[in-house]
Amino acid sequence: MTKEEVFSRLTEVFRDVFDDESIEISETTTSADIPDWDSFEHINLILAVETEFGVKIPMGKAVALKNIGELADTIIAMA
Amino acid sequence: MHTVIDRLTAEISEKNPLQKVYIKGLLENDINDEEIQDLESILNLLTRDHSIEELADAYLLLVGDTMEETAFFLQNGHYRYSTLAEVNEKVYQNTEYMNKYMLGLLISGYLWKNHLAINRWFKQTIAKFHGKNYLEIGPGHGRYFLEAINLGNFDHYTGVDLSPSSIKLAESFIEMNKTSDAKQYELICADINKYEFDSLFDGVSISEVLEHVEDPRSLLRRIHEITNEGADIYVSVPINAPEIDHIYLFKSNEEVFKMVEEEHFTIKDYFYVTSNGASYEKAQKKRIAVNLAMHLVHA
Repeated sequence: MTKEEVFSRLTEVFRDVFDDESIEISETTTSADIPDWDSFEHINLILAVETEFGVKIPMGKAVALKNIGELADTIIAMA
Repeated sequence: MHTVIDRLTAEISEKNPLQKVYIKGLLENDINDEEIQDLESILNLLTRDHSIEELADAYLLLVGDTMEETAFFLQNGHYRYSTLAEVNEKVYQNTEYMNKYMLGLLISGYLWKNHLAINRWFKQTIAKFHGKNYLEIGPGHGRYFLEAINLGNFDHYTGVDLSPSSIKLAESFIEMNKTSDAKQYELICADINKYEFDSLFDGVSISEVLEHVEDPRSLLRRIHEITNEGADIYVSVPINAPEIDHIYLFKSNEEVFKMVEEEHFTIKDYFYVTSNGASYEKAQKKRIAVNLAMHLVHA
């Protein structure tokens, strides 16, 4: 799975979780860039990512991710 | 000059980027000067026995476990454990974990917006309680019990908790923080259902306890049994709020209102806050946690 594929599918996951079709993400996007991205939505996001990519991301690792680039790297490493 | 709060929040932010954004907003917009001073005092006391890293780790353990349990709850529709025997074995008997959990809870009382809001409502409500005997069921780390003692609206204060480590923590916390003219108090390590009290109570506080028991109705009946008619009771319960040791799932405010009224309490006042500021309707729809607090009267 290429990083481009991961970002394409991740974009759809973000748009679905945050119910916002205008969301664009990049390697450096963080929770500070998306207004509704709090702890609760982070859990929903991780659950949606797990379903989409068929991976299991431990919450301890999920909370330490610094940006979406790290999330994408984690998905590639686990898929 | 860096305060202890600065050092703690820097440590937390370094390890958890989500908390970095959240805490920045909290310190700028939500916590007031009095609460900052309280937190600074508490952290100064805690750093006598714990490093900043230990305190940050205790807080982040609570954050991480809450997220794990929330993920489980959203996927399964129920809390992980449903009996006291299970959480006793997995959580309460683990002294090392419990000590960290209590520290995390104490800190979250100032760093979680919903806890700050509920604490403020507790303060204004408990100030209206007066009488001879006051009881707190499950004082935990002792912060609320201390607040009641320092108000001094009762002649005698009793705190009853099942956990020896909670009793120890509450005792040292109260001894270090009580006012010089504080009234007499006692902390008893016992089961509230079995302990025989000498007299009835005029004021009771039971905060975040009902979700830890298998049968909250029987505990409400016990409170009714040990209080005078007209007694004021402060009760708070979390709704749809998974934690590792929560076993009774309250699903809505309305369910709690119905339960307390059926157990012969009148609801004099209530307050609720959702964990992320969402509306109550949205919280119910998405199963976001709600903290509900009530001022009840023994009818």
